[in-house]
Amino acid sequence: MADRSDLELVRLFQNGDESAFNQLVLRYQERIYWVARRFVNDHEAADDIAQDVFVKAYESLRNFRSESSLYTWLYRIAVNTALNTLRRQKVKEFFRIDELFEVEDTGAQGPDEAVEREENRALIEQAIARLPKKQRSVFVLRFYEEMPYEEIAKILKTSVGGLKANYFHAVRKIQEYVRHAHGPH
Amino acid sequence: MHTDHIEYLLPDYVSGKLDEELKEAVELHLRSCVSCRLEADRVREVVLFLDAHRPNAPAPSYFTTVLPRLRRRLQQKESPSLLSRPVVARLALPLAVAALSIVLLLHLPVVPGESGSLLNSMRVAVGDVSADDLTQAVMDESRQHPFVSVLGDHELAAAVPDRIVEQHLFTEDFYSQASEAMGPLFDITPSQAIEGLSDSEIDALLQRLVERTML
Repeated sequence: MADRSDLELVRLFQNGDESAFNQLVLRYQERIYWVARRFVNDHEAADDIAQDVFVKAYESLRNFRSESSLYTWLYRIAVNTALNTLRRQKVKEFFRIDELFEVEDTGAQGPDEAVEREENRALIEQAIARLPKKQRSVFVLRFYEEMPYEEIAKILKTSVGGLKANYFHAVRKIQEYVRHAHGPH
Repeated sequence: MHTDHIEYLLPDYVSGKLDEELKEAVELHLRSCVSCRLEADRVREVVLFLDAHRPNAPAPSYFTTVLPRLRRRLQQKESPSLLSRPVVARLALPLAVAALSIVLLLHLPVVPGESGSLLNSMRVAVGDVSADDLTQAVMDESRQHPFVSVLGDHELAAAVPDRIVEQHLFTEDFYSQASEAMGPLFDITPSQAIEGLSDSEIDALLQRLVERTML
């Protein structure tokens, strides 16, 4: 089963072979987890997103028509799910209800270097969270996933033109945010 | 090549993602343009910073758990319980939180004793108040006073403003009764309630929050 192409697995699943879907999950789970993690920078949230992506895929795969590659299709679901999760997180943060369930491990008990590293990661997370939706998506897919612009355009259903500008502005905004937080040197 | 275009290529240039032709064009331009060299330095600095702070990978065993949990979830989706139905999930908890908060905010007397008396008191108290007004009142109050973090073991207590707690208007018994009265009715957490909202409802809620806060 592992040597079958994506399309073959999709066809098998559409014909009732559940194990073909399992194979697709095993094939893509790591990539989907990581793209989610780049957006939310939190393991638990990324895990939730990855699970949601595969649930949505399971429910829609029977109607998958191969107009785009499965890879592009899954990434598109992942990006949209991650963006939705971020919007929901904004609402939750307002009500601060997550405080009851989650205790953030900042590594504050470790050595200074580890504390600083965690603080810097949090800073990056905040900087990325402040980016406009499209810039954030382009940044994650280009910087972390190292995707070609053509692929990013397919996932975001947009044209290639403008993506480089989006990427540049995202990087510059992160740079300004980090510099501002660290103060003038 | 126009300077604007060179700028847009800088993140890919400092990351080594440009093909040879574009890389040479960028380098040629940088040799003669001080402002773009400075820009390239700034971009390089942040790219190195981002590279040095990539998130830690999850435990190696994590990826062996994804498929089994997914399968369990798909199985559960095929036989959902009453309380997991979207309409119940969307309406029940927000209204419960609003009702409980209103009772507390209005300092209504609560008579302990008979089973369900707290819930009945709340029903009487909020019977004539619309869901919108309840939500509005809770939101207004929450803007003025930070929510408490932990008030016991029930998440509904999180909706109670600090001021009320600080004034000791209610005893621990009250919270215990509140939890007992409300808990079994709404077997979901606030987080789950928010998850149950549709995208358009989230948009509407965000819009309202943005109008009222600095969110």
